[in-house]
Amino acid sequence: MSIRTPLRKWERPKKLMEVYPSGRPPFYPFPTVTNLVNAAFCPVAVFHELLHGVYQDVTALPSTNWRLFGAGELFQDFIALLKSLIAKGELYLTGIDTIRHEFFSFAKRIDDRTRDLLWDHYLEPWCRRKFEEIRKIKQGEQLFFEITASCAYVQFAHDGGTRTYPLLGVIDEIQIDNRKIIERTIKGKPEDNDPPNMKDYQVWLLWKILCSVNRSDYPEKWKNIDFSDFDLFVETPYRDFKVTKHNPEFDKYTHEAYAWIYDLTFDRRAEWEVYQHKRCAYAARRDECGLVGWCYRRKQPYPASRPEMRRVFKDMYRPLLWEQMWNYHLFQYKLVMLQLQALESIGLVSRGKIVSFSEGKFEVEVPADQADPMWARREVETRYMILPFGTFFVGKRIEATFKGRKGNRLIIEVPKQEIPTSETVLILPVKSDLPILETQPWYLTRWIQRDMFSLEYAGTKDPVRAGKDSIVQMLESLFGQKALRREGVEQS
Amino acid sequence: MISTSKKKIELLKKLMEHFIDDVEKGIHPFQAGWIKVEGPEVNMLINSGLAQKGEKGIRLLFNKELQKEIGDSWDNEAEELVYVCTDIARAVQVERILNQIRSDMEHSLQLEASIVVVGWWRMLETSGFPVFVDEVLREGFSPDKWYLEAPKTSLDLALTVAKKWYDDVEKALESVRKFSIFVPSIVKNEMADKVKKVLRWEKALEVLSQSNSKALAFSWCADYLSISKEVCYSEAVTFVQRRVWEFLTENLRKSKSEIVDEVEQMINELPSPELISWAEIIRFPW
Repeated sequence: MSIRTPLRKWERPKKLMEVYPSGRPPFYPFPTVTNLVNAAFCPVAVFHELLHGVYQDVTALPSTNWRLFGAGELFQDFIALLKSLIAKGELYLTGIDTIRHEFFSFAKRIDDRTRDLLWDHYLEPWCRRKFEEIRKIKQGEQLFFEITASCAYVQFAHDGGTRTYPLLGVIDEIQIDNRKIIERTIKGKPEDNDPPNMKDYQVWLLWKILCSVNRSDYPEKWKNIDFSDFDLFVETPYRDFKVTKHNPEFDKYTHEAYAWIYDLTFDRRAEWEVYQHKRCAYAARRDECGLVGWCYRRKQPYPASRPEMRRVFKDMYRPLLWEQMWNYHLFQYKLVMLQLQALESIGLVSRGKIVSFSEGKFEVEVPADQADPMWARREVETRYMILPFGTFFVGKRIEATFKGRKGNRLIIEVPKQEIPTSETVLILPVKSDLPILETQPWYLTRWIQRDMFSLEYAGTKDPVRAGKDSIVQMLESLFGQKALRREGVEQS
Repeated sequence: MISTSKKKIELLKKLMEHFIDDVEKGIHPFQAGWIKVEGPEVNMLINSGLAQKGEKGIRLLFNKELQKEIGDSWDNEAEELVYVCTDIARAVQVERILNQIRSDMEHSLQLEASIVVVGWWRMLETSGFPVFVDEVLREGFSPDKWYLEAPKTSLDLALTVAKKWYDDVEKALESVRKFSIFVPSIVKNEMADKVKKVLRWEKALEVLSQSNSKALAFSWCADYLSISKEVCYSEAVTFVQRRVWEFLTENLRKSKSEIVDEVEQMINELPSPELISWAEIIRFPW
């Protein structure tokens, strides 16, 4: 961990309703838990994440086995489905074979080898260890998965007082009845005595968000819950680790991580500094880091103009980050800094009544005067964000598409079979024709960053191949000495 | 049974790893990478000119043409290590040129002037000239023409900076060519006056101080040299950057933070900051 002076104040946007997006944003980013975990682990990791669009985190598996790409998500999704079905009384476990059967049906679209790998190495050890525990899940037990927590003023201890920062994250599992918060991972080994790298810090950050949100902003049925006495766990396929909540090191990590995020966002010199504070080296690289493949990628000798390309791209990465701040981070600020009632009253958020939910499809009754315009807008808006449970501070956020209409009732499809629901749903167009809650497809800007960064590594070591490779030749023309000319045209 | 050549490659990999590791820790490449190791492969490496023996054991001779050693039996890791070591060797070449420039500058104001021109030209040319669009339109540029034409006037602008403190600047430019630094030819640019007007360049010149301008110019020259020598791995780039800061702190007798703060203070005094994004134009390369 490097030494970084904590910032005195984190600037939030002062104008939320009328602001023209241009240039350097007059507010600081709205970081995610992943940003913080990366920054606390190694500043180079958050540098890659913010400026190079590498949306991987240090706690992920290194990309050495492509079969395991997305495996952690599948592991979590299946456990969420399994527990939800048991809690709803729709599945009764007789043995591990029942779970195996459910998993193979759940993962039917995955190729056999990957499915076997996932079952043998991760799910089966988890099931053997947890079988009795999950069999005891009572019907109606309050289990929540993938809950988004967001707050513009998360409190962290500093120098006898507190400092506040915005933070957004997704909690793998909340067990209301057992008062537990769980962060799940497929990393780790059976013989481990400590949780995998930074996972304890990750669940602690998520808990800090929950504890910082005002109770009035909790979902209706959670209003009397005090999350401060919940226990925190990191769960691997092989062990559960209880996490200490009062760890001053975590507060220290946090202040330094925010300082790195600020510096990388606004100060071009921070790039030099992150490399002075990197956490590993060629001879001692940390193979458990999910970003090791990005840090130690080979640069082939051709194109020779690679350094000049880097110089040009370097000045473009930060403005691309600023664009994401205008498009996405500002949107996150708006969600938790504007009053919901006010947004509803001016028609920017719609509230509907959930009539039914099954097989990933909601039937939602919306006010009569809103049904027509919402249905008409599906022509231009293909994706919506809905909150079938909770609030913008703590709730289930999920992307959805409109699939049909019966009078005032809309059929809305979500990419999950089981999700928590309440009586009402909040519907937000991802890009509305009214600009207040508008967010552009900001992830495309991140893709541009990542593609540019990938291009920095493109090339070949073979000079003959380089001479014929159109990409290498194009790069040599754009950034090097090669003259750009149309080829294949006979000279007269 | 591991073959002798395999063992040789493994030892070479070990030497390269230690070498890179030491350089990353801030040890100069000429002193980096010593390890105590024995065995017949040691002599093989020494005899083939890839390693040297000394009191501290053996070390990689990093400035040999390592890439020529790569053969079919080499694994990806070994190849990658060769690329990084070769890159560090290129960075050392850059350092050698910078040392020469620094030493020659002590006796040659002409060279100092030309470094200011080259450094400023490079800094301005790569800046993209971010200016509030109304200002650009007012001078008759369309936005796309501005981004196309303004960088072409960088040399004109850089010459005016150097002329503030040095004589015969155009002639002085010749002195930098012996360091194989490319300098564009001086051609009258019709747009230069308009660009200067948009940038309030005359007023900006009044604010520039010689020591700040030299610091910026030297760092941009080093960056330019690194790029033209194709230094690309962060381990090598960081080595050049570290050396440049050492040169600057010695030369200007100020700490790095003092130099940076003074440049920032100067930028804050430049005209019309609400219209011209000076911090994106006048800046250090790293």
